[in-house]
Amino acid sequence: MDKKKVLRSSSSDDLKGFEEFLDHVDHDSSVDKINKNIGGESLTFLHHDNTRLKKVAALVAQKLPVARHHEQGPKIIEQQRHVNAQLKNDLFRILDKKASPLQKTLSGIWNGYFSERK
Amino acid sequence: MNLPIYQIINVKSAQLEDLAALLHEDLNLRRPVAYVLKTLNLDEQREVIGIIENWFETHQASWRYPYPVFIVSDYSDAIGHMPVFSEVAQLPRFYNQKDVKVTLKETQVLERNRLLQQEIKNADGHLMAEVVREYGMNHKKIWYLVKEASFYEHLLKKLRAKAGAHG
Repeated sequence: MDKKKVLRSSSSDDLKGFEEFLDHVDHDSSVDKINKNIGGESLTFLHHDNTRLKKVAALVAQKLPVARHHEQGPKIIEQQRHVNAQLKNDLFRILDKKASPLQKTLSGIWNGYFSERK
Repeated sequence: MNLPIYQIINVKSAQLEDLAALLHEDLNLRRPVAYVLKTLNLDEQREVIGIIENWFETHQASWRYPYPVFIVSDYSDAIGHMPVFSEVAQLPRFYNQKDVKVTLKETQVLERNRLLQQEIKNADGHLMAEVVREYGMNHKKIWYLVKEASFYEHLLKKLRAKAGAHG
């Protein structure tokens, strides 16, 4: 095991009086710079960036050209409008019947307010 | 080769010639860019945001791909399409990495990324943005229509249940 690594991880109180002897304090920032990268943080970041770039490349090179030339949106909108019109028709057909809840409520209101008072 | 971390550009002048030197075709090809306009006064900041947006529009370049371009300005509310932040610290954290010495393994990944960056750059950014916008708008319309249909179906179900109970 690396001696310096063990010493760096121990607390400074434990090493009191041995500073000169051990010279455990590391002032070299370039060593730190490399050490920080040992954990593979940058490699993970680069892999994530690679995944992101792959997805963007697939989007602009494959998915969007297909979506552009074979856009299904307007067709789906037209179909859905047709479905909605059919549903509205069904709704009005039911509400238009004399015994429908709407007609009953309306006649109740109408009769209540405008019938002749005795 | 460097990691694709933020390139912070401090804009110190609102003059067109000075700005032209800061804008070029491969600006966001290898790394994300943030233009910091905080040293300019408010009028100049608004003017510069307009110039930067116009530049991308006229040069048929995309500020979205391969890497995003951000603006750091006191105009934190977006006045155009580009994302504006009030502080550098508010920029997306994904690209906030330590600038460390790249290892051999990382260089290999960077090499692979370079090809993808070029592939994305070669696509027509404006056309693609238009396709995405159109696609999004259509799907928003579909969503509203389906919501409307769901409301009618709910009413019909209730009315039929009521008619069934009475009939």
